[in-house]
Amino acid sequence: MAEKHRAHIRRGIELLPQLGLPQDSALGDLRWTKELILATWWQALTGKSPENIEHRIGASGGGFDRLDFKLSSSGIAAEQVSLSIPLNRRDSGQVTLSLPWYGGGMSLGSVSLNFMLSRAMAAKAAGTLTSTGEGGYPSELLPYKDHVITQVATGMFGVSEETIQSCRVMEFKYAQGAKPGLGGHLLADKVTAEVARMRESAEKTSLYSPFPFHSVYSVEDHKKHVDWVKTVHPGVLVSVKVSTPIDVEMVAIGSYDAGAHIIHIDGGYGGTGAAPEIAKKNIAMPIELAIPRVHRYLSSEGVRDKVTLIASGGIRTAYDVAKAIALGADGCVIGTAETIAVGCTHCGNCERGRGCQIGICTTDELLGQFIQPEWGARRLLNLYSSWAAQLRELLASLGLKSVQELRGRKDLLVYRR
Amino acid sequence: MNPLTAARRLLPQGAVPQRSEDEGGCGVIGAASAKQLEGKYLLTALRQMKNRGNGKGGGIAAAGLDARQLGVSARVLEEDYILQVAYLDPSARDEVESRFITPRFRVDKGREVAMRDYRKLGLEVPPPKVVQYFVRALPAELESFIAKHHLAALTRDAAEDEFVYQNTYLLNSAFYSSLQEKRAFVLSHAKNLVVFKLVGYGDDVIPCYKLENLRAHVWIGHHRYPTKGAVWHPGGAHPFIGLHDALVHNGDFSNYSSTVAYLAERGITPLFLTDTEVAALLFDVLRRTYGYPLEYLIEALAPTTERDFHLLPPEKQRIYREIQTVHLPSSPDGPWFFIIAANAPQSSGYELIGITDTSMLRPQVFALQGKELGLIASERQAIDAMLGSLHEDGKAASSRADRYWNARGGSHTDGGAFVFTVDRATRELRCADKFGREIKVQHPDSAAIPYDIHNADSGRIAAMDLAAFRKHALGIAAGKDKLAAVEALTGLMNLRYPSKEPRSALLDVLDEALVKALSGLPRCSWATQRKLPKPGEALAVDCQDFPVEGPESAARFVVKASRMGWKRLLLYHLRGHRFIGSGLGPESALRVDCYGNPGDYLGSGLDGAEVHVHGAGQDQLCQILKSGKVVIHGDVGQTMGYAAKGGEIFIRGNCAGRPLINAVGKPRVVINGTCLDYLAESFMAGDPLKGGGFVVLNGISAERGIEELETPYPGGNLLSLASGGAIYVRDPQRKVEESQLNGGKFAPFTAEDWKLILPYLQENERLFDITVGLLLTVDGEKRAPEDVYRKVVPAGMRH
Amino acid sequence: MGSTYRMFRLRAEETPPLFPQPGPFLPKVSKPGLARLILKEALGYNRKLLGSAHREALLSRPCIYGVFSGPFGGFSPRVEKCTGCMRCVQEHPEVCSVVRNPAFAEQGDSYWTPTAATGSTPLSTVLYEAHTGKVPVRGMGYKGAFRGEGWDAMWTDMSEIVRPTRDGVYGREYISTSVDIGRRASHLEFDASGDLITSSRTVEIPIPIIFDALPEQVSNADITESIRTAAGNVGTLFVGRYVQKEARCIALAGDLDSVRAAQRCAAIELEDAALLQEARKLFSGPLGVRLPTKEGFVERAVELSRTADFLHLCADYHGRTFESTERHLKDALLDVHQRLVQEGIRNEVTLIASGGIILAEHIPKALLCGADAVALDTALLVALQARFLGECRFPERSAIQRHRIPVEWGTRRILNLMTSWHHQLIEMMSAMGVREARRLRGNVGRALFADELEREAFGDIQGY
Repeated sequence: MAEKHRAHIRRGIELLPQLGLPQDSALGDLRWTKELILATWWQALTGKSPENIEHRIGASGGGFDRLDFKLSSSGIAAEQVSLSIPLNRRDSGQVTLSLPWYGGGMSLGSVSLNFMLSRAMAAKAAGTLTSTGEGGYPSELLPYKDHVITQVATGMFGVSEETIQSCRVMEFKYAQGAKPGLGGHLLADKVTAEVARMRESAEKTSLYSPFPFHSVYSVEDHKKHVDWVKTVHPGVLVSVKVSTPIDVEMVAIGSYDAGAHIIHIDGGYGGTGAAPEIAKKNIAMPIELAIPRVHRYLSSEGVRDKVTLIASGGIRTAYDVAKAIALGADGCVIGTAETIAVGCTHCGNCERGRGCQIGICTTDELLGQFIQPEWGARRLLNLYSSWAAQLRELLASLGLKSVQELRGRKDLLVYRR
Repeated sequence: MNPLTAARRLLPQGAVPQRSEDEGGCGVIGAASAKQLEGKYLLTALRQMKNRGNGKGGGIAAAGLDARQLGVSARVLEEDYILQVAYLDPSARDEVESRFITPRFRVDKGREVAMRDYRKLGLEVPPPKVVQYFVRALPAELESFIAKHHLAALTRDAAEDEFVYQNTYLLNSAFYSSLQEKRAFVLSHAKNLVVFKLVGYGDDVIPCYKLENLRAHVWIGHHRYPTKGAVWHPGGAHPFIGLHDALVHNGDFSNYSSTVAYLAERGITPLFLTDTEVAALLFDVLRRTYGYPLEYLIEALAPTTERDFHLLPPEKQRIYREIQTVHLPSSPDGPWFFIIAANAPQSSGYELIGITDTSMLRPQVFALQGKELGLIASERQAIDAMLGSLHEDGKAASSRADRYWNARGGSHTDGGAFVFTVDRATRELRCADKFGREIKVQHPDSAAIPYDIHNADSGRIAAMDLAAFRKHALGIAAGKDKLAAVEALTGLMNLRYPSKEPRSALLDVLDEALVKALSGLPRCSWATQRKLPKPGEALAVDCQDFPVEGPESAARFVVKASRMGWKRLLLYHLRGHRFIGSGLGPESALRVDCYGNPGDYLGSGLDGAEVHVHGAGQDQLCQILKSGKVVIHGDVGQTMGYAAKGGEIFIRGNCAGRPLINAVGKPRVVINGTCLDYLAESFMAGDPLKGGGFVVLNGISAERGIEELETPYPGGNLLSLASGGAIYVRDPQRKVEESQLNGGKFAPFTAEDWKLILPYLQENERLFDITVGLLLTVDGEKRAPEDVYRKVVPAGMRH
Repeated sequence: MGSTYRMFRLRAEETPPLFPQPGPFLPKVSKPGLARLILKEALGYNRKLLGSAHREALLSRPCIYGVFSGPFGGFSPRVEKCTGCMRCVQEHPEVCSVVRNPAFAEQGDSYWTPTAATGSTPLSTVLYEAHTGKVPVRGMGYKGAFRGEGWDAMWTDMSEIVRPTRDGVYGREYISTSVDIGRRASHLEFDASGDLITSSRTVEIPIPIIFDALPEQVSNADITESIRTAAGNVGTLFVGRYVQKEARCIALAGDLDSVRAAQRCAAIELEDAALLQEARKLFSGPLGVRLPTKEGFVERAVELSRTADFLHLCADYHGRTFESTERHLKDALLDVHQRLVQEGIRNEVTLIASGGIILAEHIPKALLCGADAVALDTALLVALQARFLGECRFPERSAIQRHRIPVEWGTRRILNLMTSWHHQLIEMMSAMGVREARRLRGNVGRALFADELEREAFGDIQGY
């Protein structure tokens, strides 16, 4: 049965970008328009940009959707453009990414193991990273461990010295853009034996992540927290994932002072497995507004080149990546674009009943079989290579040889009213 | 309208700031002493808390000074305001004096405070030159001020206070405002109280201004951890002042703009953009402008709410409700902890006040030694460091306090605030909580201890004076089997037995003997760590000079020694060393013993090893504890066992707030004392009868035999939003109420439950001499377990 | 021994709509296409039909929500079950389509239905909340516009690291949403023996929300009674005319006779400020003034604050002021609040704001801009499924189709709405790290204003 539906779904999402959909189709919304979804499917299928579908901007009417680049022609060939970024700018032990983006945290339980594997395989093949999210470290990911970030979030589920010691990059998740300042809740029903084992909890017992880290009520506590992880695993790169409050720049400098290598700011319009709608819309600022704020501040404090600034929360396309970098980030973290690549429709029913209709966010056995790791990884790699080509072309036409040269180049942007 | 409020509305009003500069939390300490103490004693405490600041601001305040040292008469010291001006730009002095000092005040003495070369102290930003003016308002100036501001209804002293206050406001506005060049500002202007601050650490202030020998009854010190970093001015450092007081703060208001609006309504514009300034100004408004007694002032800052309000006597409820109606909208929210040094005219003496926020979000420890010394700090180790240096010079009876405690913010039990007062006339020290109830040291006692210790002759010790006890202890230390000697001395440290002398004094002796015994073992220190002997039975590690964190820290040394094959480590001279037991990975054969003050995060991440703390623990112990065992022979601080997955924890004393928060799996914990609040919030530890986790909360004090506490659990939240695990609370009087179980419920205590917890109580007996028999004895009668223990389980989830 | 303390908590109870409500999606199936598909599938599986596993596979439908699981499957889809997941379209793009339901976008008015392209509107949100009492929770990210106007031109802050968030949801930690309505003393005074002699003239409500009086042409007896009962159950107040002896009522009084008649009401709101002095002699409780946001209302507010215990600042039902150059209630509030601070009387008077408060998020936003509490209007009507006839903007000129409803149902619906909003208020306060609703008032440091932030971020970009 899984086979039948799997075949249908694969065929359908391969076909749809060409078939198109009616004007009043329910697919898509203002941020992820129908066109952006279809364009992503196309790229995941072919590894190339679509010709007749708007694949650069959505219809949100602000932020990235109003920004554009001042293009010019230059003598630089796209193939010469470097897309790599360093993650460690403050001490020894370099981790370099081949692409200026990596995958954000999605936990086992919130997504299926198959999809986790797809992401890890793609990350390894592309020379970038993915993250465990807060749900433990399934042993199936061990072959990809150099490309898997261990996330320590406020519930610290599945976090042990072993998982901290086995990663190159450790991410403290203080907050998530889609629900800034709010915790998580995994209903008892979703806590299957496997999920419980991963999180070292009891089966069928509801799991809660608290709102704050209860051991961190100040920047000084935060430093202690980072020191702790460095005691457990000296040499680990520490990423601090925070949301975008009004004083996000203070949080960023505080994190730098605490010893973080990566400051990861997650804006309000990012994805999630489940979050109160009120939080997504209303709490904290969109990432487009936060990036220049943090970039400017870190620069004025004289530490901008000692820390890597990663932006996320609504990065949908290669063009969003480029705009985020031009606004001041070093690179981006993506999540929803990856789920779309394997067939997500951005319908938002992730947390309902059996979960996702095509088995991305699910613990359901049948649905979980729809995405096979190799197929998923292929689609993700296709999307990555399409994005990489778009980004190289864009940088070449801006006269830049490296994505690192784009950082903070607001002068290359234009705002379209 | 209040006359002072009306008068201030005549002042030029600045723009009302909406946002403060963030501060990341800080290190704070305060001390009050019946005898004046020299500034140098603050140094060790501040040095040991350096990791709570970042060198971007430090300050101290001292009250109850010595007139001779300041070169004035006792009368001048008592009656004059000490207007202390910081000159960032020394050339501003003439202008400041000619505009704000000489035409308005009679200057009885003016002197420039001596300084050391700041470069030699390693300071980057030059500290301000400080000039101390002993002043009184010129009568004619004061008269016209009173007339102009319609203050005739005030006493002359109160009007003069306001004269001084407004003069400072005008001086600061002219010479130090956030928008223009910063040239000079007033550090302090109280009577018999001075403030110094600079860009650096708190402990830089004392050598910089040569305050090592300055004597005062009350001291406060502060390291700042501001998050912004490029440009720094000492004006942003703490303490901040009202009039008769200086305040240091650890925290950050989440309603800065509301509190600022409240002040703006009263004609007060903050100039320094920190919430600490706002706190000091609020304190001054409530105390001086409105004349509130301290209890009501504290209520206006940290209101008593929810169940605690409900438990207040009706008359207090009436008054507190009115205070809240008026003041709650502008009372500070978010994490905060204030320490205030004050010399208010309405009080009987020099005060040291500690006030905690109502959610207890900042670390805080209070301590009392005899009738001599009261201390408040962010960390217990800072208190012990100060006491240690005092004791070394013979200025404190012991290097430990006789009593340490945490305040429960906004509570009906202590109000979350304590005041130490040194009487101006008698120089006696008194400590009271918010409600004015006196806190005393309970003296040795001994007869009340009904049981024997394992390895010492209790009868003999009871008769020993200090010299005899010392001889006894050193005798043990001289024993041939050094490890056995260490064990025996450790037993004497950990257990309670009748004695002639205060326990704190015995512990000092035992420290000395222990170090002697440890010296006989294979041993290393910071200096000798590279020449480690071959692994043997046990390694003694002198941690004194090890860094408290970082790659070279004592915690990393423990990992290194363990990897070399050592199976037992005895760490001593610990002084706030963090992360002990972290980084070992899965490791089950190691045992670590800690002497002194191990710091935060001890045992965090532990997976199989054993850690024993022969004393008290600090904050964030046993985070994500996976397996293994942690034994604490004293109290522990905030948030113990956060997100623990398993393992065993035994605690002789009390926990501060939030133990076992978000713990899952199967942690098993015995707490013999109690905890402030939020025990086992979001506990998710399955069914304890089927291998899950639990906490036994005995609710007793085991200092003098076994005494039941007033209630086994004073907090309003027990097992909130929990979905698994259980709390077994010793509560024979059935004092814990349904209303405290915010998400929990009582369940029958069965034979199966007893079978489950008994082995843990037996281990508890072995470790602490708290016998199962005594735990089951109530009012002299032995009872059945189900009549003594109650079981609380999650109520089942609401959504 | 044994305290009777109980934490404030509202309890929701599923209360389904009385009248059918169009959903946002319309699944469509091409019947010939479906017939062909079934035929094809049946042939493909022909030989394997003997095995029951294959029969199951053959019969399994693409929809996991049961749109096609009726007796006639795809020939008669169960439209109401559609969640817009598009699985059927993904599997059978030639046969299935899901389109937006035009009836969904036609409900309410321009204020209640800004865009249906996100799958939800303020109207569908309130209906869901009144139905379930739950906090709307969804997966994936925000689907709406980058920013909007009015309340949508601001965000609320969250605390991070430098200040911890609070864990207030599900009552995990204490967060109070209580506020006081009335006049607070500027400070406390004590007599010579130290006894407190000050007493404020206030009434406490457990949530910063009251229910406003509705004009007669949009209300009926069932609606009024539902609101009245719900106010009682929540423990808050409702504003009403011609009421006597209503302890949970703020009596709306147009003359002194009404003041006399309202002696046992919790508070009195005068429609005519000129009556203040006389009314004060007749009534000892909180006495306020209704102040429509007409030309000069800021100055009027300052003046009235010296005598009235509370001011009820009213905007129209779309949250706009009644001035000739109309502006949003948010800006009106900021203005009034700041003026009262300058005058040094802000803490003494209570400011109630109303007009177009229709979503949970509007409450903390209104409080941050300076209100002590808000009053609800059309949100109550929507919860009770009243149908708008055209634009419902000006209170006296709006038309609404009123139904007869069972009061018990109406009460439940409003109670559910308040339960959901109470939880959402706590979520936002938790994120801000503020644990008393009273401390939200004018706490502008915890508000993020889109105009200001956009200017800072994009001001130096060409074309901005």
